[in-house]
Amino acid sequence: MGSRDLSLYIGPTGMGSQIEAAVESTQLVVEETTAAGVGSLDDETSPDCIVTDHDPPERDCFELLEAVPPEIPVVLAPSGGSSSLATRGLRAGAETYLDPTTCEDGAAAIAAEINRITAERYRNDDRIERFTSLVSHELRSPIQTAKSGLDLARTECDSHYLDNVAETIDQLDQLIDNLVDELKHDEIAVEMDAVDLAAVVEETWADRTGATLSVESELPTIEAERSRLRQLLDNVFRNSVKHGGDGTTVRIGVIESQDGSDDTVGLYIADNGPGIEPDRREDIFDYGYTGSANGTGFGLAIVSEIVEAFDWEISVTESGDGGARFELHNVKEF
Amino acid sequence: MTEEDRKTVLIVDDEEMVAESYELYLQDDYETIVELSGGAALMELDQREVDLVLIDRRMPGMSGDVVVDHIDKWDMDFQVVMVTAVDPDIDIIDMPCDGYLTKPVSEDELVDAVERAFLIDHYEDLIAEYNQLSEKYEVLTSQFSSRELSNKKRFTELEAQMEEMEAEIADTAAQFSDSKLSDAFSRLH
Repeated sequence: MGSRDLSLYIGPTGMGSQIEAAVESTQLVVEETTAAGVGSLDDETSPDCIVTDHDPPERDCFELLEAVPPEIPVVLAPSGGSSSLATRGLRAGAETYLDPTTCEDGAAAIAAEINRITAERYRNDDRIERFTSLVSHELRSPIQTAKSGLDLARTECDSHYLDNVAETIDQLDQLIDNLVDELKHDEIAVEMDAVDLAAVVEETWADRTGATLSVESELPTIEAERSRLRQLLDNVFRNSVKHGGDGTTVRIGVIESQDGSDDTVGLYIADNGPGIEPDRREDIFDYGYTGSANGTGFGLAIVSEIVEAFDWEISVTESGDGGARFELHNVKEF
Repeated sequence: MTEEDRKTVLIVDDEEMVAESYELYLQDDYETIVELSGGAALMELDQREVDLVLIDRRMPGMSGDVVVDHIDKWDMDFQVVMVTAVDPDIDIIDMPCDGYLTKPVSEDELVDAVERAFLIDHYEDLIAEYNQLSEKYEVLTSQFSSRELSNKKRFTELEAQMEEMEAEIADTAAQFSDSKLSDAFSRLH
């Protein structure tokens, strides 16, 4: 999602000032050249909308369209337009084409387009926020009620059916967490930092009963985002324990480098569960794919997204015990 | 711990079953009172002394937010823990509460949050008491020479008392299960 109230215009300063005077509820940053415009796009400033002139070589809409992330809409508004430029610009990814020279007031027309795009984005953001809050509250409250009822019922009777209900409630809870997470982050954004992998593994595993964790080598300090790394590990551990049941042993360690030539390491997380059939290994990271009747199809898909956001690679093979072995590669040591 | 020493927790949640389960989780270690609305909770607080309020944020009628605002305005001296299905947002910074739990909560999470809130309360009391002693220590050391003070029994008692308190403060800080919080408290004193 963009930085609210910020749009970017790449073109002559004079035109930029006129547009700025006509835009509503958004700050317009004006840059004279494509290079300066692209340079202003960093993690902190992701505009809701970019409008660009096309006057090569200083202002090149194609150079811009290549550099801008696809989620930021780009309006191509050249001072000297043509139908050919319009076609090529739209094909290259521009959201709209607007020739200001054909309008009575070109600056006002561009400003109106910026206003329309930003208003639409805000409406979508607000809608998602409201929906997320609704999903979160309206689904978590009954889960709490069900959990509470279950704990009260346990004081009056003992039945394995109560354990089954508890398990189902936990799955629903996990599903809602994943769903809310997905709604909040349409794309996973991460801030990489030094993370003590051993500490995060220990924290994440804590309180897991009925299964054993074996750390098989000294775990390094790596570059990752702590909360996302926890989520990744939690989902993989949860997957192993769910399929392996009580008595599962999960082993984690460093994959010895073949040549030791770079600063990246490989990590493995292996279990002694039933394993994953070779023909299913491609699919397990897809949303909605689940190998069990009570799976949500979210866990490993989220793992895959986090791996991508970290710029790591993940693969799955068979462990020495016939279980699943997840391998993470390209993990940078800090 | 004798019955008289037991701390009292007021549980406020409009879902009766939820409130009852919290009572079940806490009743072994605390006196518990249950109220099913914000208004009833405020009336209860007016009549009874409680040590901690465990309150749902979103309730029909008077919300948990409004109740904690009243508690804050009335300068009531007890811990407040919010337990809510509302995802925490930036607004919790200004919320006068000592803990925030997102539903659904387990027995362990709830008991931990309550213990932690009481630990923070205890820690704050220790710091306030230590600061009082420290002020007196400063005044006396600026007024008298160290030789004069070393002969005064009451002053050496004060020094010993401060040392004991420093150890107790460090112990209390170390009890916070979250190492970050523990470190932060350790830095404070």
